[in-house]
Amino acid sequence: MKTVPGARPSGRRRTREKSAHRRSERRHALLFLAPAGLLLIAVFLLPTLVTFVISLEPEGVNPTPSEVFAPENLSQSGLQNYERSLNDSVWLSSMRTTVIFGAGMTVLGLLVSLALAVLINRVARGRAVLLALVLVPWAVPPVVSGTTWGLVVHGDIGTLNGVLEAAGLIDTYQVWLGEPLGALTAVIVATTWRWIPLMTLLLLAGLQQLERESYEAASVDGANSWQQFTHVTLPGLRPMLLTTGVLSLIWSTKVFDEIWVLTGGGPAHGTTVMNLWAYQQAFEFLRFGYGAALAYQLALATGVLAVLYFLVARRADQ
Amino acid sequence: MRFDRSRDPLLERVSQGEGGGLTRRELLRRSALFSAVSGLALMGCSPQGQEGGGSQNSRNLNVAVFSHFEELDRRLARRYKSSTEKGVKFEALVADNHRDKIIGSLRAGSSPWDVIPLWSFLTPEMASRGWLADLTDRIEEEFGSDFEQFVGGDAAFQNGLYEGRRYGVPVDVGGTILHWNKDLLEKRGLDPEAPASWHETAGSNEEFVRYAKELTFKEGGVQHWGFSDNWREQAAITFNTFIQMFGGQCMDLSDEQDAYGEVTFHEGPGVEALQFMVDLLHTHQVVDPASVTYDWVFDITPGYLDGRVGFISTWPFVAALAEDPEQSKIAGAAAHAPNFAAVTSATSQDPHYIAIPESAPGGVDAAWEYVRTRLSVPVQREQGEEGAWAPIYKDLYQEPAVREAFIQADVIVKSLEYPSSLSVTPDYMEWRSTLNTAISQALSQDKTPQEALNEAAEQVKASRG
Amino acid sequence: MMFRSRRSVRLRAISRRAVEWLALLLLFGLMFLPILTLARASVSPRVDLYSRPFRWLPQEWTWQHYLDVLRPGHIVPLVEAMRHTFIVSLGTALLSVALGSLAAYAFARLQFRGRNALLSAMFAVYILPGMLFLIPIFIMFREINILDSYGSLIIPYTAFIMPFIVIVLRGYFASIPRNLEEAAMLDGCSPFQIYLRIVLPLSTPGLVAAFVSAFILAWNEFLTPLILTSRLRVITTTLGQYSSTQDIELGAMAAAGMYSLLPVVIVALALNRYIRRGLVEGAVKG
Repeated sequence: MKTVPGARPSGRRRTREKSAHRRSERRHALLFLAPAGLLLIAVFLLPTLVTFVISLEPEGVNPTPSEVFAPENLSQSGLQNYERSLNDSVWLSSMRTTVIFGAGMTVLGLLVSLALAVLINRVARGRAVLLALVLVPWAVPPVVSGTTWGLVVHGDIGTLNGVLEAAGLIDTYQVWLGEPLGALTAVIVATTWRWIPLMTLLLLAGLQQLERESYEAASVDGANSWQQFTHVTLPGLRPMLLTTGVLSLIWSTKVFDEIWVLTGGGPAHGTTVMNLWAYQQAFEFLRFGYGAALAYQLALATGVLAVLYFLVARRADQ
Repeated sequence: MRFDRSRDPLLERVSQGEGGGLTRRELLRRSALFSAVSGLALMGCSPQGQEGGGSQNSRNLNVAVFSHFEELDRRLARRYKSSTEKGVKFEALVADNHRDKIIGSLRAGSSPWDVIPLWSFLTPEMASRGWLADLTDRIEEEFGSDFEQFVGGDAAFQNGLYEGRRYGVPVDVGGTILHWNKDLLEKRGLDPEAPASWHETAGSNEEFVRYAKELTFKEGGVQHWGFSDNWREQAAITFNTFIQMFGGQCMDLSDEQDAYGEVTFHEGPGVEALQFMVDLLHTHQVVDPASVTYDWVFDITPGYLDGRVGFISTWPFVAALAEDPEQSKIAGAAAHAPNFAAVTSATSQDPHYIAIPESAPGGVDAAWEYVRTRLSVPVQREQGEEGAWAPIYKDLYQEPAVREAFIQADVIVKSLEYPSSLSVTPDYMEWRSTLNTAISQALSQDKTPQEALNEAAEQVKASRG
Repeated sequence: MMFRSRRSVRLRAISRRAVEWLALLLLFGLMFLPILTLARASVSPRVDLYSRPFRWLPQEWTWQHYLDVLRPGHIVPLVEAMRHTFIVSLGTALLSVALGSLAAYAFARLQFRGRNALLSAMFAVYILPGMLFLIPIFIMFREINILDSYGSLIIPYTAFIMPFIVIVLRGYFASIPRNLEEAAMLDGCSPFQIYLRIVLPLSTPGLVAAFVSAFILAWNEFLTPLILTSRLRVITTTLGQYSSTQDIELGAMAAAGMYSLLPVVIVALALNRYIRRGLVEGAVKG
């Protein structure tokens, strides 16, 4: 670094000041982050590590500190629980169900929320009301929404059957949850319902940004509204659609409440997703190590999706 | 009968009450005073306000109860105290997740409770893990070896057995019985009293099918069904009843020392039982097809209580529900009997149990005092007079007050004279789930009953290693 | 000619608007079908709820279910559960906004190594299955004997919800112009003073969004209290209690469901502007 001699001291001082400032910032950052960080370490990181140790240990080890960290149990650690899952036909089918569930939720969610976002975006008067109302499913406790959807799709007293019959669309009541495909559809619809507010808000944000950028140009060209939608809106919205879609895949891996209430995973495991089977192994059949191993595999899948999300989000930013 | 909670020194110490008690409406209404007082007393309590914890364990007994038994057991606590000078601290567990709660506590080797409630089928599982105290000698001392004083003899105690020892006792009795709507039968030109004697006649399942077919009809655009049942999680219970009707069992548990026994649900009677279910649904088409979705919360009662379903086979308490005009449109028309018969009539018994954890903080002896009182004749009589949960002693069913409370008393007693075992094993929860899957595969006609059951049997054997 | 064409343009505009509103009405109708179903069940006497053919409105309205579930001693202790839930949600919202805003400030303004890695780690808590950490938490809490206290719920709730709050607030803090802070720094204010005296007061809308979102998320939490509590009843686990009774009263269950969703839905509606912005921020910037 070559500078004019006279300027030297002040340059040095500035560097020194800067590094002192850096250090103080770092120290302060530590202080600012410490409370949150300690909490996350205690409630999240340590338990996650304990669960990992348990997933390696043989069946029958109770999840207490004294047993999990007993030398004789630690020495028997291995991949047996992970190997076992390769031969578990329900686990393998639950992977497929999880994928179908995620895809279904994402496609359905994007379609409905895209329609909602585009329509709400075109409304001038009454828009504030619509925006407020669209938020409602998000605020409903998932447990209540599960039971509520149970009342909707009930084969005997459900409102869906009632409405469809009154509209003349069916003449006998349908058993929506009776076979695997119908049941899977029902739980997808019920779960998607809860996420539609968020997806709609995301797409609306995307639309508004798009409008600021390019919308007017096209409408001047005399394109009709459908052409405008397919040629301008959709391509322009693609980054946001991708982001929302990947987020929806991530959310779909966590589904539990709705399936638990509506189908319990049946019929014939047709709605058993990975999260549910891991829970059942751990809590119903008391194979805690095995349940932990399954939960870790699910976490791995979620992790892959998260990486995908970061990639998509970064591309959307550019 | 009611008492002022604030003046009762015992109940002052009792855990924070969640009110509650028995589920049925009239009981709730009758308990309103009790509840109002306790409710007011509680408004100010913090949830940690339950004194106790470790320090009082030496004086108080910690008893966990099902939330739907709480009120009854609270009243019992006074009786217990007067005989032992110990107070009782209650904790109500919700049936839904009570197994998780109990297992979570017991597996760490330290039970917070002296007495725990169980569904009877959980007893072998918990016993096999060494969590429950062996009660064999105490039961023998109390009751001798004479189980004839109990409804159904030894049957109600059977699910408490593990490797020939006893680990839990029933606080009530009862299995599924047949309920039907006499008005509907009459309307379709059927003898409304005939089902009452089906249980005595082998082969009356054919007659049941004939009736059910007549009862399946459409009127004014509304579909009526001959039969409806909970075939989601509880399909295995119906299957268990039917397999016994055809002369079989889900598991061969004849060797008392082998708690797991041999899988037999895929043999002849099992295949016949499942074929019978498939035929009802598909060949005869007399079952409400939504049955495969009915379970705990969304169950069979709407159709039956609305007068659109001819027969159901379920727990005895539904009888009282059907008689309440506020709840049902078929009050006065409901009738009950033991289930119809194939080779024999049959039922599946899963009573409410109580057991003592091996690590009971107050010691097994003190806990046993509570259990003994809970099973004593006066307490059982009191329970019977409320009409919700059937008492365990035969003699009580002769008493007018109990008979009045239990319109279906004779039916309960009679139904337990037929095969009523549930084939519980330590891995019951797991094989029941496997069996449920097989049943739903057969009901959706993806597999034949034989195929589905064979595969399930293989899976059970494989997971037993 | 010109007149006609102008009229037809106007007609087309009107008919297009009608179609749009019709589509909106249909979509919102479907979206509200579940809640209307619940409301219907909550005012129907049992015999009406079970009867066929289907009727939208019960023959006889009843508010009895709403009264029943509030009565002390009802099998489902709703009032008590709502009180507990309120306290726990309030505690969670306060704590997660307090801790979360501190962390968010560091992420938004301070330079330090590993910033992005730490932010990603927070995101992980937000998306990973709860199965991974709930059981050890249960065991740990039992060892230190705090199960069934308010703290046993507030602590894990805060840990699960705070990452979301951090993301929301970081976005908000970043949008505040820096010049005020720079001026304060020249005056010799420490970062903490700047955070407390300048950033927080300027961020009221963001703090409201964070606080309300945290409150609602805590109110709706289910799996955590299911595993961690038995005596301390909160609203979501209390609703599960209906399935424990032998005689399931769907009407009362629906009324309790309405009670449990009304507070959060009303808050969400009243403050929807703040929440909406927070949600978008939280989801995208994560």
